[in-house]
Amino acid sequence: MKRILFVDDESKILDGIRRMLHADRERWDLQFAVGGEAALRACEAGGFDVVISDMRMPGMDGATLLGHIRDRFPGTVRIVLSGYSDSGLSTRAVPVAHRFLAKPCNGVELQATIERVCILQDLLSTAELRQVVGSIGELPSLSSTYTSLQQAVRNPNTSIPQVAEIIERDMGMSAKVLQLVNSAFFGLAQTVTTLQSAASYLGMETIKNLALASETFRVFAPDSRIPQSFCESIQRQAHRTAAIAGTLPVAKKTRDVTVVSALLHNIGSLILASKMPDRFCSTLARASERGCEDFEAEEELLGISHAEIGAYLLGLWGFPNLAVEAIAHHHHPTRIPHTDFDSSVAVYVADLLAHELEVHPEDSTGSELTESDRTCLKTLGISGRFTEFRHLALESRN
Amino acid sequence: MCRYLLTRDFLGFAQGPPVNELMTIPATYDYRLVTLSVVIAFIASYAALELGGRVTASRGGARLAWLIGIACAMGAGIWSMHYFGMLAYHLPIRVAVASFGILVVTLLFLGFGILTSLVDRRLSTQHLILDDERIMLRALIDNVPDFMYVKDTQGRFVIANVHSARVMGANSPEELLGKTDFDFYPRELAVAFDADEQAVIGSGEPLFNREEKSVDGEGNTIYILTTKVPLRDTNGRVTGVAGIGRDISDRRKMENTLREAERRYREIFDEAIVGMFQSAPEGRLLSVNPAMVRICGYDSPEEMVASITDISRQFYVNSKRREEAMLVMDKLGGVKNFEFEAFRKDGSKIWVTMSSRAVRQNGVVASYEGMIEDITESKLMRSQLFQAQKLESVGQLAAGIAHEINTPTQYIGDNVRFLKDAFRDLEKVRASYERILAAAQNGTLTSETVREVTDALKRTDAGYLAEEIPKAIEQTLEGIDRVSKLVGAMKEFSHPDTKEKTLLDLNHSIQCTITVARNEWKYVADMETDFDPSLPPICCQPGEFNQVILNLIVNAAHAIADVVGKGGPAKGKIKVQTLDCPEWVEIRIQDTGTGIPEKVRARIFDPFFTTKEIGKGTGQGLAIAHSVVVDKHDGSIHFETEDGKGTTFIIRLPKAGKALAAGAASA
Repeated sequence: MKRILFVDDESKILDGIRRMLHADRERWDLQFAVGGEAALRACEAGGFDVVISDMRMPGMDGATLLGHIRDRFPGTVRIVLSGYSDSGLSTRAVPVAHRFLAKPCNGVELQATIERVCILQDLLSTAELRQVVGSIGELPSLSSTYTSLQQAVRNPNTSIPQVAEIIERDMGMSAKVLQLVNSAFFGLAQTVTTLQSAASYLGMETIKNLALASETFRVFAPDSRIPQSFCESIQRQAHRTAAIAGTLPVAKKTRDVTVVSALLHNIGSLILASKMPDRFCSTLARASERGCEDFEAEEELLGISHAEIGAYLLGLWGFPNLAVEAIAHHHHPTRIPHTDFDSSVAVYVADLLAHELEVHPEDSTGSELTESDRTCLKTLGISGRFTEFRHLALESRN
Repeated sequence: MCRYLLTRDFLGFAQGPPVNELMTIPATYDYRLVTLSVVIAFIASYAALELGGRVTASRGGARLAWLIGIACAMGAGIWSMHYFGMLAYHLPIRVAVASFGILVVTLLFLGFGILTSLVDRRLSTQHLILDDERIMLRALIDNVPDFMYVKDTQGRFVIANVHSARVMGANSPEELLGKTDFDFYPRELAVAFDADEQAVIGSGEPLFNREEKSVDGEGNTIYILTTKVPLRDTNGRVTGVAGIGRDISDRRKMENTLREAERRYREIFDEAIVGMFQSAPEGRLLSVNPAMVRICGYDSPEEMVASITDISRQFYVNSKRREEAMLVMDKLGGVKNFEFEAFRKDGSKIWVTMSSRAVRQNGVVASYEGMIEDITESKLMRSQLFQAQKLESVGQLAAGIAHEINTPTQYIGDNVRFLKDAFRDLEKVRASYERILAAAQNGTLTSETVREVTDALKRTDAGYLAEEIPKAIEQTLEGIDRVSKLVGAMKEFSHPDTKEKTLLDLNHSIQCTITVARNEWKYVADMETDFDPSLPPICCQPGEFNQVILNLIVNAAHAIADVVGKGGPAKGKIKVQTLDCPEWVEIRIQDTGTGIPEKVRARIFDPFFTTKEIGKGTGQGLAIAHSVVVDKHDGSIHFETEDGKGTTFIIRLPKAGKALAAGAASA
C-alpha cells in the first residue's frame, strides 16, 4: 500500500482532502502534516512514497521542504499543490517537484495524479528494469555545457541571454537546438535564428529539454554490429513523431512537453542498441521472426521494453516527470488514468501515426491498426477522432 | 627854493672878506639838529645797504632802476645829513635856509628808502621762505614714488622728479631736462602722451585721472593714472604742463581680477537654470535672476521685484507654507527641497521646490536667499506614478487575494465531494435498511440479508461518516464565509475613487485593509488589533487612506520577513492600534522587524527612496503615505524605531475642523 503524505499550513484543507480521499483509504495510507517541520518529522518517522505539499507556508516553505525530502528520501515522489503563482517560488520548485497541481484542485485530478505517479514509480523500479539497467552499466555522462545549463535554468535569477550564452558555447548543441526549434513541431510562425529568441519564444525549460534531447542522441553511438541506418531511422522516426505530436490537440501548456517527449520517445531503443547490442539484436530477430512489434519482443525477452528504459534514463537525467511518464507508457497508454487528451495519449497517437505513415505514406484508411491498438483507442475514448488526427498528420507532412 | 640853492647867496663863499678881517664869531650848535643829521645819516646808510642788496639780487633793467634809486636815496640822505649838520651850526648872522622844503624832499627820499627797505625785507623773507620751500618741495617730489614733472609748451621737461627719471631709464632728473617723451618712449606711446599734453595746453583744461598704458625702463607694460594741468603765467597764458602720474599696474591687475570674479559670480546668478532670489522677511523681493523671472512668468527682474511686495500672499498659494519655511530656516538656518504651490504672474499655479537659507546680521535675520525650481511636471509625473503604484499594489494584492480565495475553495470543493460520496454511501445503507424493513414487514427477513446489510455498513464506515459529515458541512460553511468576508473587504478597500472626503469609520476601514492584505503578512507574522471603540468618524479620502494603511502593513510584513527565518523566531508580530486623543486620532502600526537603521532614517519619506532590492519596491509607499497624510489630510506621520527590535509608525489625523500645526510631532 502506498504511503502518501499531505502537507499544508491550513488544517482545513488537509481535512477536506482527507475526507475526499476517504474512499481510497484501502489502497493508500494517507497521512497529514501541518507545516514543513511537521512533515519532515513525519518523513523521518516513516518513509513515504508520495509527498504532496503546498508551496507558501510560514517557516519552511514547500520548495525548501521538498528539497530536503529529495536529498534525504530520493525515492519519494514529490508533488506541489499550490494556490500561489509567485514566479520566483515556482522556479525554485521546478527542480525539486515531479508534478505541479494548482489550487483549487478537483478531487478527480488529484486522485488521477497520485495514481499515475504511483504507477510510474512502480514501473521504473521493477526488478526487470533494474536488471537491464544494471547490465547497461555506467551510463554516458552529459556534457558540461548541459550540466551548466541545467543549473542555470534552476536558478530563478538566470536570464534568457545567460541561458543562450551557455548553449552557444557548444556549437553542436546550439545548432541542434536551433534546428529542433525551427522544425515544424513547435509551430513557430517565423524562423528563429538565435538561441536567445528561441528561449524567449519557448521558455528556458523547453530549451533545456531540447538541449537534453540533442545531448541524448549524441551520447549514444550504437555498436558496430548495429547498422548505421538503424540510428538514422530512429532519429527520423523521432522527428516524425514529434512533428505529428505538434499537430495534435493537447492543452497549450503541455504542448512543448508533448513535443519533446515525442522527440525522445524511442531513445530506449538507441540505448539498448548501444549498450546491450547482443540482446538487442536478439529482440530484433525475435520481432521479425514473430512478426510482432519490437516492443513486444523486448517485453518478452527482457521483461520490459525500450519505453521504460528510455523513460528511466531520462528521469535520471532530469527530464520533466510528465515527459518521462509519456515516454514510459507510449506503447501502453491505458496503464494510467487519463482525464483529458494529455501528453501521454498524444505521444502514443503520434507514434502510431508515424509508423502507419511510414509504411503507407499515402493511405488514409487506417487499415494498419492492430486489434490492441483499436481497443486502446476505444478505452481512451478517441477512436472516433483518429481519422481526424491522421488528416492533420498528413497535412503536416506536406 | 631852487633859485636859492643855486644862488651866490646860498653858496656864500664866492666873495668873502679877507682872511685877516676874519673875526671870531661866537657860534652855537643846535644839538637837536645835530642829532637829526646823525639820524638821517644812519637811515640813509641803512636804506642804501638794503637797496644795495636788492641791486645785487636783481638783473637787467630792474637792476639799473634799483641802482638809480639807491643812488638817489643815498645821495639824498648824505646831502640832507650834511645840510642839517650845517644847520646845526648856528652863527649870529642870519642865514636863510629853505629848510622846510629841503626837509620835505629829504623825508620823501628817506621815506622811499624806508618803504623800499620794508617791502624789500618782506620780499627777501619771502624769498628765503620760498627758497626753503623750494628745497622742501624738491625733497618731496624726489622721494615720492609717483611721476611728477613740468613740461613746457613744446613738451620738453622743465622739471622732473627722481622717480620719473628712474622709470624712464635716466640716471638723474637733470638728464630729462630739455628732452621730450619722444626721447624715451616708443613712438606710439609718446605720440599719445604728447597729444594729451597738447590738448591740455591748447584747451587750457586740465586732464584728470586718465589711465594710460605705458612702458617702464625694462619694457614691461605698466599702467599710469595721470593728471595733467596747464601752467599759466601771470597773463593767463599757458606756459607749460604740470603732470603727476601714479603707477596703478597692481591696482589694475587687482581690479581686473575682482571684476573677472564679479563677472563670473554674476554670470552664475544670471545664467543659472534654477531661479535664484533674495527676499526680505517682511515679504519684499530684493533680487531675482532671469531664470526666476522665467519660472514665474514675469517680463524682467525689475518688474518682478517691483510687483511682488508680499511674498506670502502674492507668491505662495498657501501663505502658511511660507511661515513654515521661515520657521525652519530660523531654527536650522536653511531649508532644503521645500515644496509648495506658487502663483505665476498670470495667476496660474505651479509647484516649486525651494532650497534657501536665512542671512543673519548681528544675529537677526536680515534676508533670505535661495533657489527655486519648477517641479510642476515632475509632480504631475509623480502623481501618475502614485496611481501606477496603487495599481501595482492592487496587482500585488491580487495574487495574494487569489490565493486567499483558492484556499477555502479547495476545501469547500473537497468537502462537498466528500459529502456527495458520503451521501451516496449512506443512501446505499438507507436502501439496504429499507430492504430489511420491507423484508421484516413481509416476514422474509433472513440472516443473509442482515449480513449483507452489516457488510455494507462496515464498508461504508458509517461511524466515520457520522463524525465527519457535520464537520465537513461546518468547514464548508466557514470557507464560504471566509470568501464572502474577503470579497466584502475588497469592495470596501477599493472604494470607488472619489476625490471628495467623506466621514470614514477608521477602525472598520483598517480592518478591511488588514483582511485584504492578509496574504502579505500571514506567513511571517501574527496580527494583533486593538481598536479604540470610541474613535469618531474622520473626514478623509477613503481610497487614499486605505492605500496608506496598506502600504504600512505591507512594509511591516516585509520588515518582519527579513528577520524571520534567519535564525530568529518563526513568526513576528504586527500590532495595529487606534487611539482617540483630544485633538486628533492616532493610528499606530507596530512591527517586530529589522527596525530602520540610523543612516536612512532621515530619508525614508523621500520619493523613490528604497532599501529593497530591485524589483521589490519602488520606494513610493512611504512618500505617498506622507503626501496623503500631511498634505491632503493635514495630519502627521512619524515613526519610532529601534535597530533590530522593530518600528512603529504613528499617524495622526486631526479631528473634524482642526488642523495639526505643521511642526507638531516631527521625528
